[in-house]
Amino acid sequence: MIELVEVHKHFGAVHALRGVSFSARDGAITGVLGPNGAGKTTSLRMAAGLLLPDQGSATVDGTDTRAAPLAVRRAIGALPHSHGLYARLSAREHVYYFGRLHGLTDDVIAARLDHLTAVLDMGDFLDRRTEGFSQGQKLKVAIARVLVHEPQNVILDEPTAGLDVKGTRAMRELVRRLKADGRCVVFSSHVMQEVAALCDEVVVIAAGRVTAHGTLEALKEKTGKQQLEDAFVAAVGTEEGLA
Amino acid sequence: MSAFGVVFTKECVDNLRDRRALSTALVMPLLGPLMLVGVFFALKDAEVKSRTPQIPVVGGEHAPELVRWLGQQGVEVQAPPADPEAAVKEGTVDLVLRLDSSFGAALRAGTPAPVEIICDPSRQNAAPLLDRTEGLLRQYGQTIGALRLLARGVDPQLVAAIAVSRVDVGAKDAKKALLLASLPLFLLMACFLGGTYVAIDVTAGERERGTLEPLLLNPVAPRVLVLAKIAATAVFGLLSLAVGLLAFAVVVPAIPFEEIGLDLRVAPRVAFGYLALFVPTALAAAALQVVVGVLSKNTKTAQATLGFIILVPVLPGVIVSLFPQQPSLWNCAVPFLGESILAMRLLRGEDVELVHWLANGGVQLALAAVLTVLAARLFGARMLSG
Repeated sequence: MIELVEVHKHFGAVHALRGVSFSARDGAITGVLGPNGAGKTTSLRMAAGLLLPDQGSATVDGTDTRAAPLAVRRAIGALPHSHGLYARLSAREHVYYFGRLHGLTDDVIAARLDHLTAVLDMGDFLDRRTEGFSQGQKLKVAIARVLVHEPQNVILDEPTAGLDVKGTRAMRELVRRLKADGRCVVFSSHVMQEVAALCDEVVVIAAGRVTAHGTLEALKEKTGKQQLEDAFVAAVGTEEGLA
Repeated sequence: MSAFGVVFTKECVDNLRDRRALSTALVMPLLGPLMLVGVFFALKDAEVKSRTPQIPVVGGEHAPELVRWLGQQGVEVQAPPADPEAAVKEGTVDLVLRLDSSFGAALRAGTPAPVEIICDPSRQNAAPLLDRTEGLLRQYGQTIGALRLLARGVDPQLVAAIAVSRVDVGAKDAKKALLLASLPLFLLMACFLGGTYVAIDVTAGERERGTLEPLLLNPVAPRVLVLAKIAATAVFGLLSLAVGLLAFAVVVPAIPFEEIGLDLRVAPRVAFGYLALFVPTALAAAALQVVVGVLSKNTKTAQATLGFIILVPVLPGVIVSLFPQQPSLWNCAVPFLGESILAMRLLRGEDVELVHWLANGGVQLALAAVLTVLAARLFGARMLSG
């Protein structure tokens, strides 16, 4: 359960978030949609406790990110927009590094890595150094290291960017599986079809504000548009930056 | 394992696999000892040359006494080149001495005997030998002159109104002093250079790769991350220092420095003294480099900035080598200057006072602590924007 209430954030003179509020339930997939530069990544960084609000509050499972940032990070697994890998470490070493940083014992990490390797189909490249990995392989490693501590809340910032069809399908499959486990999944994208295909609820962010929040049906109703695409455009107020 | 241990181990393993980081840490410190060997042989060569000057002589058969006397003075009389003038002009020989058949006759007659030195005074390299040759000939002439005066019952000292002698404090000694001072300088640089690539990789590199944000999302305080990164950087600096010390410890005893009048000691006691002296330096160097890395936008600017930062330890070292200083509480408390001064003392086999060592180490550790706190404050989510 992730909740943002009236969150404001300034970067120097730029007022990036102007009162963002939304909540994401457990056992549901919440899509965060908006044009580039609307404040999606900043909102998700707030939810993960990486940035603290200038005003307002962000809570994860009822814990305020300002009061207990480390506890929040234990409850969250976040795949940030930039999810680079260490070229000289193997896929396995990445998962162990992050597992250990979460205080897991090697036995626990080994068991979870077995499971993740099967789910993500990483067996072929598990012990290779990540230099030269394909985009899909890199993303799998990045996801495995985010999920190794089995977080209740999973934040994925544009996880399908740069993936081919097969990779995209695998990613969708994984997101559905996380939902079935009862986790809270927050998923950002600027691809409407993807949000439509996956999400139970959507949050539309434009120019640092939430312009719509609810189920897909509610969104259509609110905007008075029958086509999702038209509804999104209406909610955002412009077609710019959408795909 | 604690979070500190996890990050520290990862950074060490990761950078040990980086051929560039590893070769910088292991190979750079070998340059100092190698240079020492090179300079030693260059100096020794120069010494041998000045001790036995080589003079080609044309017509030596006309003045066998002179040739024998030159030999007694330590001169190696050589066979002349076919065309002496051309040889000197081309620079294949520094000068040629030419005697002809009139030499003996003039000597017997008591008139000045002609000796020609074929030379090119515009050539700097030939100047010492030219001086030396002229001096020797003058000396030979005075000896014969003195004998003539004696034969006539006159005291030869009457014609020697003044006695000139040189006291040489010239370039040769300056070179030796520089050689001496270069040792601590190389070790100081090793403390820095060994960790440079690591410092860049764990800060600006982390940002450039896009691994910073995933790392910061772990439940570990940024100050713990930065502390581990500084520790890993320091390990590479210390590794470099250890390699440098080891190389000096092997090279210095193996080379007969006393042959060029240089008294160098790198006894085990001195090596340990150096380690004690430079460990705080390596920590301060690591913290300084990590701060620069955190502040740099990308690895390129970090590299450029750290290229300048290396002057921080080099300049005090050069100052000490040009203007030797006696250790005092104040100059030992100047970071990087103090080490150079104290290292020179150790090298000469002199004792270092505990207060001086404590002053230097204390200041460097304090500097390391301040820089670490600074790095911890700078490291974090704010690195993601901008």
